[in-house]
Amino acid sequence: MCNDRVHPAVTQARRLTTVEYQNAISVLFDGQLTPSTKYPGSAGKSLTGFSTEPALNDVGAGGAEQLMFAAEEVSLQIPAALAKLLPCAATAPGEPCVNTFLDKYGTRAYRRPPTATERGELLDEYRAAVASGASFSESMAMVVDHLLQMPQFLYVVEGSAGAGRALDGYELASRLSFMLTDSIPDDALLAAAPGLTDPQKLGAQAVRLLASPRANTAIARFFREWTGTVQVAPADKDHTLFPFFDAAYARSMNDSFDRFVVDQVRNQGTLRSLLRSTDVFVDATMASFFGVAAPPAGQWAKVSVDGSRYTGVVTQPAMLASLAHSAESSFVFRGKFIRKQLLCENLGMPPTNAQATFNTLPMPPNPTGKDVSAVIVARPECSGCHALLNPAGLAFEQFDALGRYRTTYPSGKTIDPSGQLPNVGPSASAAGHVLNFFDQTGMMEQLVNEPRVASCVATQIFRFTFSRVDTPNDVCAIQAIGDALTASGGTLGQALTAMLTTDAFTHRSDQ
Amino acid sequence: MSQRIDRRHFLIGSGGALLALPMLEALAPRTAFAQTAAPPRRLVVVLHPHGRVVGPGSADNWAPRSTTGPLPAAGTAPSPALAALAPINGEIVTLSNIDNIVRHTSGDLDGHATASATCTSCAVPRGQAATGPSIDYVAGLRLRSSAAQKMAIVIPGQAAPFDNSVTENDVFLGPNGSPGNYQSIDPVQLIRDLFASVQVGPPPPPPPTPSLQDRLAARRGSILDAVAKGFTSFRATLNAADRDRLDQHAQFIRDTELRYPAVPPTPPPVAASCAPPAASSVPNYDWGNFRKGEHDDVFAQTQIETLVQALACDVTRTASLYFWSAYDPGFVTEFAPATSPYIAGNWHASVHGDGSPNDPTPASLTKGFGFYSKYFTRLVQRLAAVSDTDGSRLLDNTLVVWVSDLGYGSGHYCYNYPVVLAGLKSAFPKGQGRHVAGQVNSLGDVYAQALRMLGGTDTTFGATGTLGSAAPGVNLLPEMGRPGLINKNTPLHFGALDL
Repeated sequence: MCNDRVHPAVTQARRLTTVEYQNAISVLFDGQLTPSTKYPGSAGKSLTGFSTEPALNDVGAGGAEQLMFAAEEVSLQIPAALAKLLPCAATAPGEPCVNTFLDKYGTRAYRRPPTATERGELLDEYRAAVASGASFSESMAMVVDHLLQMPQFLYVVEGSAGAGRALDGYELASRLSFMLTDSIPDDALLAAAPGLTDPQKLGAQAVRLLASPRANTAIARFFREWTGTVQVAPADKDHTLFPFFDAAYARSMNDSFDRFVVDQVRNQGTLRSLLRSTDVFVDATMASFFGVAAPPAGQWAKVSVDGSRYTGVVTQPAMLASLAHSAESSFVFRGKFIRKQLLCENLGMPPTNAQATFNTLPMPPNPTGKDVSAVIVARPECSGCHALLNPAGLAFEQFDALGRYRTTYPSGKTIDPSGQLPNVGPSASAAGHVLNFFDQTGMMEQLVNEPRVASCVATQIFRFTFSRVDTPNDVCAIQAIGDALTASGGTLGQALTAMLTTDAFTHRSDQ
Repeated sequence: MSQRIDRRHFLIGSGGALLALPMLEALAPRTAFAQTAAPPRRLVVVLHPHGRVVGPGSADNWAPRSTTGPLPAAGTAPSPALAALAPINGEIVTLSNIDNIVRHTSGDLDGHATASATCTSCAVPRGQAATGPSIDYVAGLRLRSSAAQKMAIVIPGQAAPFDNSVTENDVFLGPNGSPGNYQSIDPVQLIRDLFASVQVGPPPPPPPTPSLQDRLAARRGSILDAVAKGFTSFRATLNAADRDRLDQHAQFIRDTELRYPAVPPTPPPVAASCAPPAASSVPNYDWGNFRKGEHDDVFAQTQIETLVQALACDVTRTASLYFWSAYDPGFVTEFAPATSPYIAGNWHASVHGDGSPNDPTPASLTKGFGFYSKYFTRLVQRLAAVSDTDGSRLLDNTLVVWVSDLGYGSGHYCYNYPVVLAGLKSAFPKGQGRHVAGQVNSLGDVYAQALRMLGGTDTTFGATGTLGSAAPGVNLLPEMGRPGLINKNTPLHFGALDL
């Protein structure tokens, strides 16, 4: 079916997220200028979990003015940096030097050489600035002010495609760069752009970018947004229970997560290792957290921890702390991750009176997670979803609100992480079998072998790349990614780059 | 015109300690200057999430009374949930039986999203997405002095780290459901953004040599014009959907451009009590390291003062105070000296009672809700304490509407919204100090009436007709509405309120 014709993907123009904007300013100006803090961020709720969805980043009523302020804030730095950015400014200021600027920075900003019309617009800005009495460096600041408010810079946008067309090399370079680095293409990618319609050259650039430190942000963002792992902050946690959890501690916990997922992609991690690895990254703080020897002060180390407790990304402290309440764990949050994000199950919405009903449910004194779950699941109107997600979340009850391992609740009651995970079928729509497990590691060991998990992770990669919910038209691309994940020796990096060979990545359609 | 400049530090004493409430006399201008200019009308929308946090049912303790009638005398709590409004009983009208009818067009979708998308716009959502402008935006277009004046600014009412993504910021809306005019979460930046162009006292002489910042500022209109033209030429290469997205952006650029004419106009006169807050008076938050809820009180006071001064200085005539920390506010001082149960627990979950280890008892929920009542009262009191251009109270020319995203937060119910009106006393023929609990009205009725009170002739707001005609083919969502009310023939408007 997937070879019968070209299967392009539908994409929409989307404004850069704050992270992409910050990275873009850094790449655009060789790290010489500081991004503005006034760049307007995202708004609304993501359908996929990924922050790049177009609707989240639409410009609102105050957005155009904020974009103007942001552009000005960057532009104000131009005179001081101009000697490094544009050497001809010192020796031969004038229109030829402006053209030199446009050749380099205009191409970076627009991710392709500007058209004659676009060059003319920016050159007119320069001329108007000069006419207003501005010096050369001030005039260049105004050109940058203009440039940074243009849609070609602010939006990831491709030309119309009708029923479908192949992307050109520059469009591919832009897609690749935003997918793997959350930023605009670097000079090497732009130089290679005309040849990127050759899959081998595209693949080579992907490998180069993935190996670059610039990919860290995008890799971490993929895993964070897929798993619901936020930047955990002291304000998220009960300071009476966790008085030690300050900003420095939170930074260590967040950094530990990012280092783990980047390591998985960089160092031949597989779906199995992602979900079953006992690796963690520790500095002195996290070493104390895990009870292992601390590396030298200021350094990080990869260490292996107890495999009977820890299992891959799902027991990384930042993820466990994110999927928890302020003071206690949440089997609902953690279970939802397993069912919705790892099995791609559509649980639907809770019944309208779910919360009101819960308020009336009698609970035993000091209930355990299983006690609470049993009361919920006993209600017919609740059991449809909670019978599916609660067992998955209860498997992680041995991790508290901060992700620390424990065997008892604060009440002293013993935690029993065993259970049965029902309906783990071959697909989200098919009835499936039951997984029996003794604890979280046992559950994950069985899940990692489920084809549905590989298919779901492939779906998440697709959603991440295209910033939207997948449709039945996208099945071929998702299948290609899934095949790369499940191939013998298939790595996460290969799964990410498997996308590049699909029609979905190399072609576009408008509908 | 003579200007009185009172750059007082309104929140923090020299030692950095928070001044205790009340402090109104200390904040009020000492001298009311005689002014003759007729004051403009203004609108302030206050919005908190989760509606009445207790109920529905016998536990509901929001409404001051079950029938239309007077509120208790000033100083007596109108209801447990509104106890903090006691000092302003005579300045308010509380409303029961207000429903978000249009929300029922959201088919089988549940939760907060469609409630947020409709509670201020009353427009039929597209899926979970908002489609219309909110009341503050509609009023803002009408009330602004010129296209150059800021309008419909949305000021966060609760503190959050700068990097905390605001996921609930789709309540206040621009055209076509675009994001509203949300202001910086940084109170210092907010003051700078709002008051940078406010001129108190004689205008400063132009600098002998303009700085780059001066030059950039002087060319804003020109650069925005060029950028907008660039949008126009670029759009031709795009498909229809992408063109629509960029066209909307371009329209906002054109709107912004109007604020920056080539020759800046002379700043208009401002109220006698216009006193832009000093950015230096804002506490120095440690944004990366603060504990849940610990800044909310000082933050709310700061933001309220900024909002009031934005009105007094005619920076804007439409502003909203949005208690956006929907999911997890701490309500520290409501429980002091005891520890708030919502530090360990989760407010959102407690209101919903979703099984988290919280304290979902009516007493605690009511106490937490008191935060909103307390700061609504403070807002009204501050508006009353500040003099307008003619010496009247700012409150007398400002309509304040307090609403929520839901009727009852316990189950995402969209009936019996907690609505409180204050200010603009002359627009209340039956006076204030009343509770109105007559016929069912929709939020659309409330907003249409608000627009009439502000000088319009509106009889509807948002979608019109009946539920069935507003969303043909959509399965309605009757379960979350007033029992027995919702069907395809339910009107979206019921008429005027009994005010």
